[in-house]
Amino acid sequence: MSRMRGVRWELHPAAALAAALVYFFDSAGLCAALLPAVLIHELGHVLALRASGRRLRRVVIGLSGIRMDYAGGTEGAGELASVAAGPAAGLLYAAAACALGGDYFSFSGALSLWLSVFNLLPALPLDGGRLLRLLAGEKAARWCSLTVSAALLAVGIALLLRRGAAAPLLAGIWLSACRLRSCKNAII
Amino acid sequence: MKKQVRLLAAAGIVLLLALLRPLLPARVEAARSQAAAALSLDQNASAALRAIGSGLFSARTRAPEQESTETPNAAFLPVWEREAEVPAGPRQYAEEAVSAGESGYCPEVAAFLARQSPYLPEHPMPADVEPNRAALPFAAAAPVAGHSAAGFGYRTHPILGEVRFHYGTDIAADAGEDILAFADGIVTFSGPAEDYGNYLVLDHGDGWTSHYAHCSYLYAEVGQRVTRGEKVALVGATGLVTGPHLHFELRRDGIWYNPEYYINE
Repeated sequence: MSRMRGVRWELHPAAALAAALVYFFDSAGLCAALLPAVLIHELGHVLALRASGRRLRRVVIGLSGIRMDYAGGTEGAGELASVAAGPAAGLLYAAAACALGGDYFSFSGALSLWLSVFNLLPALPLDGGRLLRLLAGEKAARWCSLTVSAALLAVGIALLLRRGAAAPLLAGIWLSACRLRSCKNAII
Repeated sequence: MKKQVRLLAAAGIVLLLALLRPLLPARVEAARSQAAAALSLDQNASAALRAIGSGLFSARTRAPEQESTETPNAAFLPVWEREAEVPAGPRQYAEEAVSAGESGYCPEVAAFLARQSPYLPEHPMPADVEPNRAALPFAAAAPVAGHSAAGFGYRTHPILGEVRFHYGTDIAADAGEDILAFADGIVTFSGPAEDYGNYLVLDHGDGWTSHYAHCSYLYAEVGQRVTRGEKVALVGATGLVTGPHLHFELRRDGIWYNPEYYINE
């Protein structure tokens, strides 16, 4: 929907509505603390893509995450590094922010830690699933992501019944929905 | 195209509502925070993350180590260097005297005093309670204006039916009356808790904390600075209660103090 530095940016309205809802229901300063975590995660991806010689063509912000379409370069090691760089950058930021201390940065660091760990789950739309696909093939990645989605749904239901916490179940539902829509390259 | 425009419009409306949150009526705000709690977007859910964040890699936010009070093992010291075994302080001395039956009073006076005091002689004083009046290092105000407090000590629990120590006092007030902050401080907990209902904890520094339970609505959020006498909550009947009242506790470093000394004029 707009062009910036040679990259097309697209924002799906459903994602905008979801983000606005989260901001509305946020009572804990979550959005402000999540912003640097997400930015640094994406920055990790982008910088690794640049370093491995690929060019970013389009960034789509949708309900299934932030998808980056890139062109050029087919070596396996470069792609592996560019996928793993996102969670790695997130983990580094988590360590730095928690070491810095203070309410905002420790919350932001913990959110970044959670984001990186969640992304390393071996389910296909996430970074971990993409790593698995690069390492073990498409079939293994699909079976693994099916298992992980089912496990996350089960854990989410259990936590909802025991503690009344809806967040893990919502994450499981989101993951399963992404699988059902078979988003291959969704990155969050 | 039309669906996209409608979605964008809806997003805009929700964003506007979120930005105008301070202007929303109290009922809408209460419903919103309950929904936030259900979605794990509130302080309680993020408290675990904040604790993880502040514990990870951070040396500054760890509490200073408690000073260890252990003396060198007396068995290895020569006799003339061993300290005489004296009780650590007045309360321990009083506890030992009471448990040994030697309170220093003659039996008639001891019986009279036992009848007056809420601390039943057959139930030992809990170790984490300070029954005497202590001087507060800050100025304090009554939590609910115009009402007195009663009920600190052993009592038959009105719901559970057993004799338990009541660690706070109950201030009788109608539902919806204002609850004022006991003293200047920072809110460290604000939200629903088990048995306490809507629970608010203020930290006044130096280890002193005041606790307000069974509130109907909490105005203050975690991390907010409040001044003495500022309205922080409303009296309610949430949690394990038989009727609307404020359950008020005063603590310092794990020791409960009797708030009636500072509330009743």
